[in-house]
Amino acid sequence: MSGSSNVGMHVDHDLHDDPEKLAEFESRVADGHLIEHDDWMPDAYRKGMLKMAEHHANSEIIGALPEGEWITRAPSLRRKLALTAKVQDEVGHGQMLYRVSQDLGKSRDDMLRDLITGKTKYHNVFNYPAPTWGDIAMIQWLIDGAAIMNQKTLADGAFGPYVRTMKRINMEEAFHFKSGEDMVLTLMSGTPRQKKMAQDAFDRWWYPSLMFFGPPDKPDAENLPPMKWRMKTVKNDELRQRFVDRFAPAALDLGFVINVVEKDADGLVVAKRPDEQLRQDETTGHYAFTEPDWEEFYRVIRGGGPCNRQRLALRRLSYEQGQWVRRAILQGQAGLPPAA
Amino acid sequence: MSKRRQNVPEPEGDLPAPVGSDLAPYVVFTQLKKDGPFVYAGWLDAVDAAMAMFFAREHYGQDQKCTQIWTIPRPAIGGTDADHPVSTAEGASRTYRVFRQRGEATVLSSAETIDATSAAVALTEAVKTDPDVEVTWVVAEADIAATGPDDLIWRHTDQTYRLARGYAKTVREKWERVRNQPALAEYEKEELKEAF
Repeated sequence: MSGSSNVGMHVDHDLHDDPEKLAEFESRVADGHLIEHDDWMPDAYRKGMLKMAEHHANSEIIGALPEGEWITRAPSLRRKLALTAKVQDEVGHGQMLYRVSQDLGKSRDDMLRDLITGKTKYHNVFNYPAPTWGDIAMIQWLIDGAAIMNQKTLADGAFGPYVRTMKRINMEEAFHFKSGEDMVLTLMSGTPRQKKMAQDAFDRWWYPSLMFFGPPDKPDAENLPPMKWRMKTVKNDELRQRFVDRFAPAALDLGFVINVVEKDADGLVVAKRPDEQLRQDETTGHYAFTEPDWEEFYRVIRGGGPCNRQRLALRRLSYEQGQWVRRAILQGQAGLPPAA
Repeated sequence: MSKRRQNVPEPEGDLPAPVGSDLAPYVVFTQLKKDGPFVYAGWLDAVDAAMAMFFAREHYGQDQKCTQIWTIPRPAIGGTDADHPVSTAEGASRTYRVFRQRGEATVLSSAETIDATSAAVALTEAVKTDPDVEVTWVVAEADIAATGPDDLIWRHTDQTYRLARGYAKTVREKWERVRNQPALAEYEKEELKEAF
């Protein structure tokens, strides 16, 4: 589901890199060549790509948690089958991305342990709650829609294994998005109660969707290693604008009100007012909008989001309960499963 | 939601010690039509060939309707790409299956077989036969695990719920009720056309 724009990517040139090799590497990247995992690359590039792929993999498996909660409560058999298939896809994406990361030198078990102990991060957006079926619709429409926009640009990057994985993931994301679109359209053509549920969920997810693309860019983003080395190819703010230009008019046509909201510590909306900044510039065609609360963004990254503790605790429980399975298949010693 | 998920216990103590190493990677090919080529489907991790085939049937076998599946341990692949170093170890003559990817936008698919005394020799021969391709792989036939020709892989139930095209028509009809054509066309510009 998740692109990795909001990974805190600070990649610096290493002064010890061989200048000739570095120049050749940068020239290959600039010429549009793909870099493979056993090609020479600056140490900072290897570390940066590992951080990005690992963050993305972590996001896929944590991202399956809020939606997984709704499988047993889906409103119809078809929706239940679709949601089950989607959650299976997301975990599969995690597997593919952990494989890319493993090729960059870190074992899968180390990655899972670093995720659980908080050494590494996952995407901020999964630290928000999904209290209704409307939230599942919004996650699939807005968040998967944002993920497709982001990951299409990541598939134009320079690291071959990551690029190939992005292309495959994007194909499956198309189903997730389409299924979400269908759910939103169904809710917004339904009863007043269904419409209210959808609006309330929209209020909870609009700003996390805008934050999805990461914080505002640094002024010289194009010249810093992540873009210079084509680890990412489009700036966060540009992607955010593309998202608003696509989804704001669609939401308005569907009858949604785009609100600026205040949330409580549980991530639930306690106050809202229509976004007065929201209007289309007739000259540029772009939509103006109220920026997300970036203090909230950084607070959630630091662990202060409504669901950070819950997500990691569940991930840890799964890891602990899966220990006997790992022992059984890797060492041929099943032992007794822990009490459920 | 299960009670377990609602009441996740507070973490206590250290994580259990790591168990062994990572699983081994297997590459999966599926044959979409009887007598057709086997095309690259993806890869997975498994502890052995039996587990790899079990996962492949469950995962890739349900992605797309297919008649047969091959799984190959990744180290058994020798290729012209950087990910798959080719073995030069000489031995008795073996039969190698060739796979080719014609361009960046296509996927690897199976081609002819070649008898050779090493993977490197087989790869050289395969490249000589058809040099104008993006990637060439060779794999000893003995390293390819296959489902039986009459195995039932694809479930005979409606699975359009897990495909984007399963929603495309109804979604478009619903949009047409609320949006005008130019707005809808603009909105759909960002979609992955190839997925439909």
